[in-house]
Amino acid sequence: MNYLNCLLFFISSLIYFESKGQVNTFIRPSVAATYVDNDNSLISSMNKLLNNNNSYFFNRFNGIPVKKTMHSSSIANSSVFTEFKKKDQDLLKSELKENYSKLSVDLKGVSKEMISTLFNFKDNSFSYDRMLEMAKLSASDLQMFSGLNSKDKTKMFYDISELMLDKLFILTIDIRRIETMDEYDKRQGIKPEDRKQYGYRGEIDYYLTKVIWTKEDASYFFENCWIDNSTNESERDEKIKNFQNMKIKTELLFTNRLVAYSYQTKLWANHPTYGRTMEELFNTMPDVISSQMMNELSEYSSDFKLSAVLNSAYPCNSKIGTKEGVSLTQRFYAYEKIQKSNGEYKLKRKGVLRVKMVGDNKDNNTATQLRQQGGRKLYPGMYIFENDSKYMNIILSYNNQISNDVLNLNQYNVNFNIGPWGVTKRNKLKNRYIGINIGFGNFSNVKYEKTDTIYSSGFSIPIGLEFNRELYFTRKGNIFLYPSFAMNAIIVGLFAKKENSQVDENNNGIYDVNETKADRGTPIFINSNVGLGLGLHLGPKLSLIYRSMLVYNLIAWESGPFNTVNTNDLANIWGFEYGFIKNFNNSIGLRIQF
Amino acid sequence: MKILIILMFLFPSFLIGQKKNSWAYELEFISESSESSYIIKVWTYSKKPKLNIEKTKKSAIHGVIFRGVKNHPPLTNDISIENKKSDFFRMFFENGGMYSKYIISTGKSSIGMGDIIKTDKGYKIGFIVQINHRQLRQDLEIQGIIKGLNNGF
Repeated sequence: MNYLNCLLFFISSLIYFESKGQVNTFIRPSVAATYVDNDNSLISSMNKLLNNNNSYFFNRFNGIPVKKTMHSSSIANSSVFTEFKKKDQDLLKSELKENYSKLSVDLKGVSKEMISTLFNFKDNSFSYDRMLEMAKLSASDLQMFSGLNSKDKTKMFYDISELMLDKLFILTIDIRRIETMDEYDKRQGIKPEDRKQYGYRGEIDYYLTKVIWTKEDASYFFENCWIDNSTNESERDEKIKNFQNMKIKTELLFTNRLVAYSYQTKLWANHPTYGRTMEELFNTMPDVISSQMMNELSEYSSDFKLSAVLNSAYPCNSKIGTKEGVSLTQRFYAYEKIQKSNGEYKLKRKGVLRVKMVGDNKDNNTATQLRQQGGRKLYPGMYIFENDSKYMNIILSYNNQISNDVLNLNQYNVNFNIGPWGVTKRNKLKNRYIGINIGFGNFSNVKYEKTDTIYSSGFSIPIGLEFNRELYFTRKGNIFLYPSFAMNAIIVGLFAKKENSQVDENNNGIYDVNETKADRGTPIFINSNVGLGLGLHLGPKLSLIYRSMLVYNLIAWESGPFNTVNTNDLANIWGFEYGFIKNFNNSIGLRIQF
Repeated sequence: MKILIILMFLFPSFLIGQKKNSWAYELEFISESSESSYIIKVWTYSKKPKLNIEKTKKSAIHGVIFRGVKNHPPLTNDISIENKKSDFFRMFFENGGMYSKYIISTGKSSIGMGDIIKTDKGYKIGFIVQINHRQLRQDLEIQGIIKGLNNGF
């Protein structure tokens, strides 16, 4: 590498600092991970595993290997937090900042090491080889085209590498505690016979530090520190000394403590498929830690959010994939770039996309397939930005039973669903959800039995499980089919019952408990329903869902002397009378996606 | 009255004629490719967000001939040539015409990040092409459309 290249790099860095608009690509952040070492053998082993971890978190950025490790002796033991609790957030933050102030002395050395690693400092000289390799990894197809067809084939990559210098971070991982679930339960005072899990639990502090590489730093570095084959021998010592004395600023951007678990229930310990050894659980811990860190960091900083271009629409795909650590759980927003009348640019959200199939762009150069789930018409060239999905939703709904049969109850329901989950044989996402349903309904003057004589008022509480799925059949995915199946236990409480009753106009249909004696005990339902719904995306996180359901209720009453219900449906078993009652149910609800 | 009627008939055809000859594009220099070629980004305008590759290629060649890009002046400074040699240019720029010969390669019909912009009047679409400007100059000189570089000395 000669002075010409050095000059080119310096000029391009000046151009970059003047105007950032030329390179349009996802610039992978460069991160040096450092670990606070500890005498604890579990922590040391976990540090080693994390260092060699190849999970999607570490695929998302350029890992810069640095030798620097810090020792925990420089950090005070956690005095307040023998246990991490959310309510201690303020105290936690102050402790983390205090610990960081002790670490930051060492971090200055790490930032210097990063620069020398990036500029491939070897045998007392620098080179751009490593930077250019990383720039090629970040370059889009079009940039590769421009770069490779240009007279100076490296200029485009120099431009990209300059942008990379604006995204240098140090991630310091300080594992404060690793313990077995048994040790954890013991600390919690749980008796040995009540300890249900085995595996590991960890408390990890981490710090994200930005290395600030300014125009002045670049200028000083290339003029006073850069050494290559063309550097005179007489200048070398002085330049090395200059680099050693060069001060590179760092700034703490984000810090947090996370609690990670890698455990299994003891019931499955010997299961041929699901049973896992302690060693296996320990080895999966780095994935848990790194994915939790990635979620928090991408929420905090857009630098850690994946952005790309939509390469084709309908079918939608983007040339991102395994190289960027794309996973089936990811959600993207598509944006249109708009030039306003005053010449300024803005981005306007146009649609929501979910990963349908992850492309292998490491080995096969296949693109990631995406499925639009709401929004306007998309077109190739739109920006797509990762938007963190919490993998769950809540549906608030009102169920109305339309038939005039026995105990046709209207209810308000809340469904907590987890998903989407499930993949096909071709590794495509199935958009399945599993959830818990909890509801409440009160009723008055509802027909209590199949004879037309008993009416009742009271309340009902359904609790159960629900399985549902989204099926998209339109290009834009604004509407979707929503088949579902649910099983609920419905507990009914009766205020009063009345024989041969009519609606009591004077008392809003609610009967006095003393008005009649209860003829039967409180019924219990086992409710199962199969439904087909239609969903409409109102926004990226809000959908309206209408469902029609065929409901089968198995209703059981305490058996008693009063037996007027249709004998075809009822029988006396174990002191109960029961009946199958078919109903139709309409439900309308709002779904909030997290 | 007669004049008015004649004007009414002429006016739309005048507009159509204008539209046919209007070139709406912008060129952005990307890099030198070799002694005989360079890479440019052509920004064309469209009512729909869809890339028209042929229109883009035509605009690129038109721009190289009549507008020039950074460090590369237009092949001719005489803008009136387009009208004077209108028959030649009509054939030159017709679909499948000679213009495509000077496009060495393109960005494989994919649009880069930020290269499609919605404006008040439609969409502005950027696309990268590599142009053999030396061959273009030579052919236009041979056909007598533009003057040679040595002409005038």
